[in-house]
Amino acid sequence: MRILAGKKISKRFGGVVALNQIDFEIYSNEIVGLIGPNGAGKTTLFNIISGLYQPTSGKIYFEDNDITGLSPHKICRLGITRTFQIVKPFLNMSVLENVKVGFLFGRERIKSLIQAEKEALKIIEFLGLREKQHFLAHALTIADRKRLEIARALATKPKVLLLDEVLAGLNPTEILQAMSLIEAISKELKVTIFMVEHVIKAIVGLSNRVIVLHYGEKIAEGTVDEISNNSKVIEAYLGKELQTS
Amino acid sequence: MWIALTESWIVLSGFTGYISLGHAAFFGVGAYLMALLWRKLPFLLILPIGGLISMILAFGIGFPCLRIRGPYFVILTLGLSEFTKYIFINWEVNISGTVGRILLGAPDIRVFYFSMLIISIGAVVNSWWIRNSRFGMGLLSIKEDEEAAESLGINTSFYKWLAFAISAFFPGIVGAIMALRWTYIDPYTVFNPILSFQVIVIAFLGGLTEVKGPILGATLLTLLSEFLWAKYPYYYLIILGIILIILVYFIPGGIFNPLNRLIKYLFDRD
Repeated sequence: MRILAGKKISKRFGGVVALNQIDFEIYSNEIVGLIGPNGAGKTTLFNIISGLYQPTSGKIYFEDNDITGLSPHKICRLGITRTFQIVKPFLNMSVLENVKVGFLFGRERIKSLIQAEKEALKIIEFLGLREKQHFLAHALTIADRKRLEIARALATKPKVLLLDEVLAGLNPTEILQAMSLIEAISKELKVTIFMVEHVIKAIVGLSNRVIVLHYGEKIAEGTVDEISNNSKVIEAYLGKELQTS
Repeated sequence: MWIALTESWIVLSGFTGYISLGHAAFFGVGAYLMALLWRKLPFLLILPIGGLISMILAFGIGFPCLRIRGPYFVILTLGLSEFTKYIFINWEVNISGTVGRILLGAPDIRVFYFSMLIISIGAVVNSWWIRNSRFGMGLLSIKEDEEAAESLGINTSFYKWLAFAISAFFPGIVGAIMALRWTYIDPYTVFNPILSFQVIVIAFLGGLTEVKGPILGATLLTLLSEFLWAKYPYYYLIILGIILIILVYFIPGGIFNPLNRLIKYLFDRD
């Protein structure tokens, strides 16, 4: 079932065209990777889906409803939650409180603080942050902050989770842990995942499909194999082959 | 009085981090309302009206103000507070042709004392209740990171707006009481921006996000200034200023943290 779709999304910042006529479709329970060189427009696309930016033109559909132009909190309550590339945990709150906020204000909008705390503990357990639940977020390592960011996003009970470079800055062991976590979120919690990622290993290991952006254009889409043999993609990352004759 | 003012101030500024210098405006509006309605309506009825009118005013000015952040918000609230003052000055001079108002037949001093006490308790309970509620969690999230709060489903603009209105309620009432207590008011005294500043000083002294902060801060500052004023009438403001600078410089989190540590230290020795 198609859960999220973009039709001819364009975004300009003054004279710069950040995104040009992007179409995409995400189906339920998929893991879709979004890759592209720096400045390709990946985060811009996420900002548009999550409502932080308005597209200059084009429409976003969620479960076949037009959600273009809704404010971020409404989009979150419908079931799309994102994490930030530069993580934004609430630094002066404990891990538990951070996750609690997600339950209180996300899709479920739990009214009782006690109930929210119970639910938050489950998510914290799932993410393996149990021992650190009373730590303030600013006492956490980067890897744990990223975990917390995911925990807080999951607490809003999203149907679609937008992960913006959650693996960046992690060491190889942490990357493997995070990858199995993403897999568990997809398989056990049945959350559809759309992820921006530079760590190719993760894209290869996790995603069903990959979308490639370059200078705001969608240059390719398909399975990992299809993408890695696509000449345009190779050109975008490695440059053209020298014409020697 | 300071407890009520500061407790209400932290609902917006302590919890969300939007520092407002607009408290004097709400105080003044409450005071003028008392001046206009005194002897026409019973004392106890004017107080809630003062609070409500302040709230309505906050709803009106909060809508544009809360869209900007940081220092700009601080300056804008100060500006609006001064603007309100000059509207009242203009009104006094040009329309009613007066300088100020004299309120005759003030009730017994105990009436002031107990009404202020009740308002202060009300303000403390109000802050405490918000601090421990879902609404309070939302406000604290806004302080931590507004963008992240918004993308977790918190309607940040509405929450800020509501917090601003709630924080305007108490100064409206306090202003009304004080107008009668002073028996003479004019725009310069009731819209005095020093009031807004003093509220901030107290809040910083006591700690910004703690409900008990303003109680301690207000008590301390009032006692300190009375003591200094009695002992060194000429230098008291200078000494007070120096003490405040030292306090803010060395314990920016309010006097609660070191106090807690001291208590812990004393207990741990046993």
